[in-house]
Amino acid sequence: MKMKNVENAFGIKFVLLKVKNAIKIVSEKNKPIFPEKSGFHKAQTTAVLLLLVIIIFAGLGVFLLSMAKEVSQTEYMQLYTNQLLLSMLRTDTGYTENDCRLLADAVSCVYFVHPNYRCGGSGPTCFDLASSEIEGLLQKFEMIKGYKYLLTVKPIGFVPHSETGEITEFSVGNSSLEDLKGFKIAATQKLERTTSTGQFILDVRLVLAK
Amino acid sequence: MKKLKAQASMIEHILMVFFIVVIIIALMIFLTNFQFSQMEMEKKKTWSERSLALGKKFMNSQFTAKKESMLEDAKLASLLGFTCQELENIFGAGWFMEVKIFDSSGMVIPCRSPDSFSACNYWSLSSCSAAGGKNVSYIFPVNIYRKMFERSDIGTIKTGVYIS
Repeated sequence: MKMKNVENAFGIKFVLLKVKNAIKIVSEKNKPIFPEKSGFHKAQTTAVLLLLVIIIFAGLGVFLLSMAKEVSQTEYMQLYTNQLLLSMLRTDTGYTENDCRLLADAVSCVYFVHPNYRCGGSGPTCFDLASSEIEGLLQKFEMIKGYKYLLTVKPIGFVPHSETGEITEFSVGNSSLEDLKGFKIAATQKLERTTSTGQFILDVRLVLAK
Repeated sequence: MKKLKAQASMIEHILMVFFIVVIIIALMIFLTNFQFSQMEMEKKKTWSERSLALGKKFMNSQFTAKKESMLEDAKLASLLGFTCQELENIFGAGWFMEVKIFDSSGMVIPCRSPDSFSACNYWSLSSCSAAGGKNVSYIFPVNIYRKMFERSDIGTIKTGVYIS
């Protein structure tokens, strides 16, 4: 009896042991073949992400610094252009009569007197004097060498006609700047004249672009 | 197997820590450089603003101008008779100014005395402490009224401050 009990207990134990081993083999079979590889991939991804963050930070810094420099140069050129137009219009042409004395007078003469009015009696016309003076003055300034320019004059609230019915127009420089979409600097000044028929205004605009 | 796994995990952690430390050091260096460049920019901005303000002051001052943005040659000449200390009392320290007229002569004729202003076309003034060297300056077009000839010519004014 005792022998039989021992044999049975041993048999159950043996079966249990076999079952345990079988479970172990099955669970090991279901494990991934190279378990250490998933950790390696994770480290690679993290390293790449960190590098991206560094590159983004550096690029942002460079971008911000370059933007700051650009703004101050534009402001200076805007101030320069405003001052240039004002100074040009207040410059003496060399003629002493009121309609041609200053460059502003010569430009006004084109619209309020006549484009072919001769300064000094036998000198150049208002139109030619204004054009040549503007071109000559703009060439003297080193700061705007390399810039294209366009100076236009537009009457505000009235349309000046010549005797033949043509509309009087005055502009000097590169006319393509009028429609240019890119970066350009503009300055404006107003020329006023009061006559018996009312007050008239001319809008003088100087545009510079590279 | 377990030993290898543990080793790989340890190396992964070491690398992670190493990368993080590198990033932190890089960020510290970047931020420090950024601070320094910001300070430099603020300094430059201050100098630029002072130089621009000086230019505006000269173009409108009763000591130099006939009217707004129009200098007068007789007044510029009279400033040549001032001592640099007197100029500093009026305009401050560490600056210089140059006025040049674009006339038909095509030459630069410096004005050296208050009496010869009609024959010259270039004025140069500076404060006592102006010793040359690095500066921040701006050039602007300006009119100069020639008192003797009663005409208004065009030229440039250059005003600058010396960088300490």
